[in-house]
Amino acid sequence: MAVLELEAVTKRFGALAAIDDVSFSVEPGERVALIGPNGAGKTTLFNLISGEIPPDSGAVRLDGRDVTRYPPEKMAGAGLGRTFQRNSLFLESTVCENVRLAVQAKMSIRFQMLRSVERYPELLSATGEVLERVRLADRSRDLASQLSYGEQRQLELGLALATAPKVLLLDEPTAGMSAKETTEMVEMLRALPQDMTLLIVEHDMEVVTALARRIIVLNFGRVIADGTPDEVRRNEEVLAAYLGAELDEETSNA
Amino acid sequence: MTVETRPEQKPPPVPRRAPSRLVWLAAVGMLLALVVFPVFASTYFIGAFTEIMILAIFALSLGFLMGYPRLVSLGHAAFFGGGAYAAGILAVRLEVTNLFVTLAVGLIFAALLSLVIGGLSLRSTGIYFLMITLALAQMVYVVAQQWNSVTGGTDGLAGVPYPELFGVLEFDRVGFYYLVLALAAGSYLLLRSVTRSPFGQVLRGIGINEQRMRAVGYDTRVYKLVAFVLAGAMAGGAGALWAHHTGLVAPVDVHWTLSATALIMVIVGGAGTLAGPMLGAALVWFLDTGLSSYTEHSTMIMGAVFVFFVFFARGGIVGIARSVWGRVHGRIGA
Repeated sequence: MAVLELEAVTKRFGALAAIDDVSFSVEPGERVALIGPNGAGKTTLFNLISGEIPPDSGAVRLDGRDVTRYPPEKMAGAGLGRTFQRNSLFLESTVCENVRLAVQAKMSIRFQMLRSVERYPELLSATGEVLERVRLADRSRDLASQLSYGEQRQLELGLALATAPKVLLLDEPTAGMSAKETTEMVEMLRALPQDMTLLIVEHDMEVVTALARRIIVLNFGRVIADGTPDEVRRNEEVLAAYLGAELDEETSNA
Repeated sequence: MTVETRPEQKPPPVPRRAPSRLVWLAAVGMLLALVVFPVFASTYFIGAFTEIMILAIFALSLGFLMGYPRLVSLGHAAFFGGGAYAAGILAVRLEVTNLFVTLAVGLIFAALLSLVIGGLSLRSTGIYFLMITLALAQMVYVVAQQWNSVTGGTDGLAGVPYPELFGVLEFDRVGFYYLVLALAAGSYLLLRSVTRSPFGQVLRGIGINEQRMRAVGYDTRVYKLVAFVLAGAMAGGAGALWAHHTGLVAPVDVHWTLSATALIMVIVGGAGTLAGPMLGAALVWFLDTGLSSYTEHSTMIMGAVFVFFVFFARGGIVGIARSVWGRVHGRIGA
């Protein structure tokens, strides 16, 4: 059974159909890349799935459950995690506090009012595990604002992983990273548990092919191709979309 | 693709906070000073300090809202005044002066009031939240002013006595001073442990980045409402003490200008801390009520001080203390 299913999801902003009749389903443990020219609607689609904005029509199902109009917090509760294209961290808190907050979201202690947060060993150990996984254990006492950009990207991933999601949406996880940082991020993502389902928006084709065996191509809010990297590469509509975009860019630059 | 080179060195670390032992020493010293104070002070000053400590509890409760979930409410006097009226009506109209009863009724009435006002206003954020809390609180003011048969209308309720405890203990001026001191210290300690608890950490997270809190699974509105009710109840408790202390409950205790005064206390003392708003309450009291017996320009001085803090000392009194500590010790960072 598919873990994530989209059925004819549509979102309009005024006259523009930002997401137009998008349907696809993702199997448990699958790693799927979502690509497309700028403005194709990739981030909008993520925001629709994660509940940041409600769709106009269509349905989203997670684990067979209809979650179409769930707000973000209920989506997270249902097992969906996400990272943001532009880091969304708790900059005034330490790295450890950042992860701890996300870990705590799924624990029954979150309404505890009187005992210090330091006194929950299970919370601290779970936090430590996530910090190890995103390679920030040695920075745990630093403020998030003191991290380098690449490390902040790692923390961004850590916040999503801390909720132990079944499905993880990654919005350009390597955006703005150096070559070395990109390699490290790809390693971290490949080391994630095999049963975690990943949906990745990415521009860097090397990253895409390193992580995903299935690519969905979006253009003007529609799915124009869905298949293996080879199939997608040979797809004429995809070539036209990317070439068209490049030609447009050249003419506008001229 | 071009790769930006980023400098490898770490950005400058934040100034080190004063060690908690020193802060504890200062807190214990202040507490001791307040304990021995009535032995030396005149009755006027015992009363004045009681008043300051009640206002400190009030400012503390608003500072908790402004500093952690970062909810800037301009209706907090509704809960203070609501608690004062609840206790006052009980004492004057029903002649119940048992401290447990008046305090509990003040707390519970303010909690219910804040549940309603919070439930309605927390649908909005930022300036809209502020305006809605102001509007709803002013409705409470109108009720207090017009419902003559219960609230005493514009005259208010006079003759609220000091409370007693089951006929065993009758509070006088000094006894009441110690009661308020104990409750102020208790309120501080209570909120201190709340802010360090898992729940308090959630509130802080909401203040820093609410969108991300929702994305990791927190129903932030519920947490904000619980915080709002907690702060409202505490303000109501302060209000009940106020009724006993001044002996009079009047519509000014619910008026929005008192909400604004509390806001100034928090900002002057230092939002984001718990001790700050309490110290801010003391400073604002001295500038406002204290100075008014010496000069007619006390409001102007108060305004100037507020402007100074807003422009030059955003961290308030606590912020100044921290930066002085940082400079004295000259070492920055871990």
